[in-house]
Amino acid sequence: MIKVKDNEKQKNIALKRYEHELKRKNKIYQPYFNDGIQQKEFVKQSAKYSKRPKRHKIPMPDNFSLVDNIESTLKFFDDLLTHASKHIPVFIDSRNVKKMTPDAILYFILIIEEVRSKYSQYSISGNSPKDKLCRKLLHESGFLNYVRSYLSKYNEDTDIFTIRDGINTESTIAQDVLKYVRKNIGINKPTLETKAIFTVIIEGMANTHNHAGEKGSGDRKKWYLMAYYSEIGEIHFVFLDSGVGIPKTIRQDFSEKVRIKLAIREEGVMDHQLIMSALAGEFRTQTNEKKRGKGLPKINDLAKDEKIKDLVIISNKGYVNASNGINHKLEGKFHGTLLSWKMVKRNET
Amino acid sequence: MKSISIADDFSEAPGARYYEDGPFSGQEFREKILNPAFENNDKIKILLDGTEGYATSFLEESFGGLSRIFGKEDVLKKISFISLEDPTLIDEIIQYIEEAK
Repeated sequence: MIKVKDNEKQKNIALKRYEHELKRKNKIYQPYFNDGIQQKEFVKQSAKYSKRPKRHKIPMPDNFSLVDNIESTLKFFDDLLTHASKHIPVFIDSRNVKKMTPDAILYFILIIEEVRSKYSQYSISGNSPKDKLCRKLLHESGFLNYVRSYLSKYNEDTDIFTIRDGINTESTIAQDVLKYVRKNIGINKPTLETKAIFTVIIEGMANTHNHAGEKGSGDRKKWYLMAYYSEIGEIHFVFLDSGVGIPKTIRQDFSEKVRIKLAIREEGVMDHQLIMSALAGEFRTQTNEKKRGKGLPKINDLAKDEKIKDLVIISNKGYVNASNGINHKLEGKFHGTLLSWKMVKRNET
Repeated sequence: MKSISIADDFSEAPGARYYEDGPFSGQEFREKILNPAFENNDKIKILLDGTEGYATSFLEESFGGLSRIFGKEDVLKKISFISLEDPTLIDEIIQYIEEAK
């Protein structure tokens, strides 16, 4: 009898030890984005217990922004994707980032989700920026909902319109953005500027739903949306979709006749030129399906009329600033389509 | 004359073109509100104000769609539009009606 009791006791102790060990190992293997100081302890423990390959450290650019620093920021994401394709775990070092914009945060999420869908066991970890504003953006934007972290994921008091995503046209989410705008800008009814914001968001959602998927594949692409009212009195809006991109959509959707007429070859016309043509409505007027393709020209008109400010469109290898006319080819490839624009608080609004 | 306010009678936040795009689509507005009103009234006044805004696909499917069913002459004869907040919308909608195929 005593022996049996001892055996049970020993079994329980062994089980507890096993569970404890398992818990510790699981904790070490979780991908995370955490605070830098506690991170050091974590890394030490990881090295002690983990036998996985050493993580490659990738520093985030000082100016982590697609809108303002496109080539360096795209190169950062390209590095990340290259390591992921080789199954080399990475550690994203964002401690020294000085500037961060919402567009880069949304694109970071898109890349994380893309990596996750392609390489399910792949590990990305990282730390938080030292800079207070960058840290706030990363922690309060909703980014933490897309990664594992012990940091608090919710902040009800945040003054950021936190990241939303979806696959359909959700006009009530666009309406929520306008409530956020009205609260921060201090107006209580729709204006031409707020109506323009609503139009851009709905057009973006509808384009994601109708055009963003690979032709004939039936796959549904996702959109992401975020807005941020900064202390300089402007609201920065970012809409991103994970689709095939405007240039590729044009190349695959439009008839040979239209493509020849507009001199589009696979490599002959650059992506930023295709985006500009789409904004000018050239494809709409060249096709039989006249009821479609009005969204981008409408967005372009709103930018020209200055209902929205600083409109930037990035898609595939094209960068177009519809507000200041700076358009160019990109060295790296952008996955999907990004719309970024601003609204400036005015005294009379 | 029948009066229809899109904000009051349908939604303050109209969506995109078709039902499958998401809620409050142009197709839904046309089938549930515009078509019956068009069939049962000689004149219709559409009030465009009060919404958060419009997507081109919503307006095209609502009014261009109506034009594809009933013909542009009848639609332009029967329907009038009012917008104090954004009068440019009226020209845009009329263009959709005229270009509808």
